[in-house]
Amino acid sequence: MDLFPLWLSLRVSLSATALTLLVGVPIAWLLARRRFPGRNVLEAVVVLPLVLPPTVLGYYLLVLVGRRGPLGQALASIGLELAFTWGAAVLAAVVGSIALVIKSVQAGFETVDVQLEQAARTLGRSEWSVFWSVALPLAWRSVLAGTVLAFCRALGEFGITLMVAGNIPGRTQTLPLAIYDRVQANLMDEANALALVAVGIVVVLLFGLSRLARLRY
Amino acid sequence: MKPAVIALTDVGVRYGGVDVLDVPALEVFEGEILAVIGPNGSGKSTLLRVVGLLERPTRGAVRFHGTPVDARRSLAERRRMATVFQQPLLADMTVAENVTLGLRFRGDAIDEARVGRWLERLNIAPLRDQRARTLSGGQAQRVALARALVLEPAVLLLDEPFSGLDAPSRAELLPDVGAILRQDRVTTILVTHDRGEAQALADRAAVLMGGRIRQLDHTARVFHAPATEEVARFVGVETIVTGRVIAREAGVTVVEVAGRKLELAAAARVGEHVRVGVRPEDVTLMLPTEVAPLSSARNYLTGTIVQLIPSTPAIRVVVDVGFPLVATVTARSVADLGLAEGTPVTAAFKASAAHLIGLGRTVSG
Repeated sequence: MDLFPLWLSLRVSLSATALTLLVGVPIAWLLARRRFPGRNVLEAVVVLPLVLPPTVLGYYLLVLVGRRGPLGQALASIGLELAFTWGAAVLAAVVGSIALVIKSVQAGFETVDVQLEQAARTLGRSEWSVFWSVALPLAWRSVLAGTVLAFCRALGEFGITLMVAGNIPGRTQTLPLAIYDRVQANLMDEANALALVAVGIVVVLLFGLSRLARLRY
Repeated sequence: MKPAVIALTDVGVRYGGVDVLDVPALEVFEGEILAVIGPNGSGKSTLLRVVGLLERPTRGAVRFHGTPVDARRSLAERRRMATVFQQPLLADMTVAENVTLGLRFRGDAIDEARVGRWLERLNIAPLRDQRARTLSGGQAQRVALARALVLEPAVLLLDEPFSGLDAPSRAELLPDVGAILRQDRVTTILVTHDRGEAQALADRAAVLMGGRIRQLDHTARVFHAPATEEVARFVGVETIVTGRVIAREAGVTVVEVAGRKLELAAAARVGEHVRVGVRPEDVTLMLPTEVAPLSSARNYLTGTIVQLIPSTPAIRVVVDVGFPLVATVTARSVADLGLAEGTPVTAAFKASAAHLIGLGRTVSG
């Protein structure tokens, strides 16, 4: 059996999770701690990927990064092509999962007693240091929970990926797409095996980590 | 006049379209202890966060030694301040380690002698190697104070530092802190809802209500010559009555209130309608006698007790003298004099204990 979809999915999900944390945690911090114009708009935009149909999201991403899209043209000018590559699958997974990280981490930051951050500031900590030495360590459970949720969501990403990365065997066919293909081709044994692998990864992650760190989702 | 360490100009803070702070001007001078008093929710802590560069105001400017500062950028200035909150917020380490926390975060060298001196001054030297989590509330707050004072800050910000303590710990800590602040002339802003703390510690007091400073003056003047009735009630003036000035003779103003004549030391024009306030602790109650006692009190008002209200530390007695006059009397006096509802008494207070409300200066350096 071809295991390429499994490795691709793991690679895509790991990359997407890393990117999601990099972008999502600062946004979560802003939403939890700062008041600024447009905060409500940002708060609403953040949950859009959760409520919009994946094909709609995928469509707009394709418009954006496609050969004639603004981002696509910009990338093309430096010799990069994103649409229908594994990078596009990463982008799809980021869009599909970032809301989970932001919401989970934001809730985590909101439960951190502001007084502790204030105390650190009054003792001379810089903003950067307050974030790394007070807020993040106190909110780490939420960060971990958000990370696990985002990884699992990325692993299961189907609709957005199909639209923006396609379903090219050996190139952009991720695990969920491969399962779909096998079912279409009536290769039920292979579909079954791949599905079990997906279930296995998710179950091990969710339950293993929640036991380990007593996480609540 | 000494230079201002902190100066606020036209500072306002709005949360969700509601003004929680509106301070056109406030200066804190070097070496002074300024108390910011007011009821809960009046904006006191917000004011302190703005001054302490923990929160950026919605509008206005904060200056530190004349330089404009900003909560997000002025780390160096924030490091010249130290804050103690209602909660001690100690780290889970020893007392000595907690006291050096601010020095370490600032990257300063740790001068053991200096640390030892502050442990001594706050009477926590024997606790030096004890874990912070084993301390009592009073001890923990002493550690928090040592942690702030060891920084020898240009401004010390105290946010209700005594409010979380039980009465005995508070009674011990208050004079200790007062002695240190006075001896070292530490520029201090003390935020408290407790009027007693302000009276015990502060050179000047600002009364903050609804986000605005209603009065800013020497502490004694705020408590004895409140600018408005609202301030008067907050600072504990319980009897407030309206009267008319009928005479002004030999430095005494005579005001007629509900048919009774009151003599006041404060000046007012004849014919003017005035509000007169009397603090309950300035009123002495005595049983009516044949012979008037010889004393310097100018006002003797006979009346009947209408209500006894138990409170700490004294009992508040309401006497109907033509208007309700409140006096505080110890439980012992109530027993010795046999005071009860319906008892006829004479209430006495000095001309200087009756204040005209709203005629004093409202703002002064």
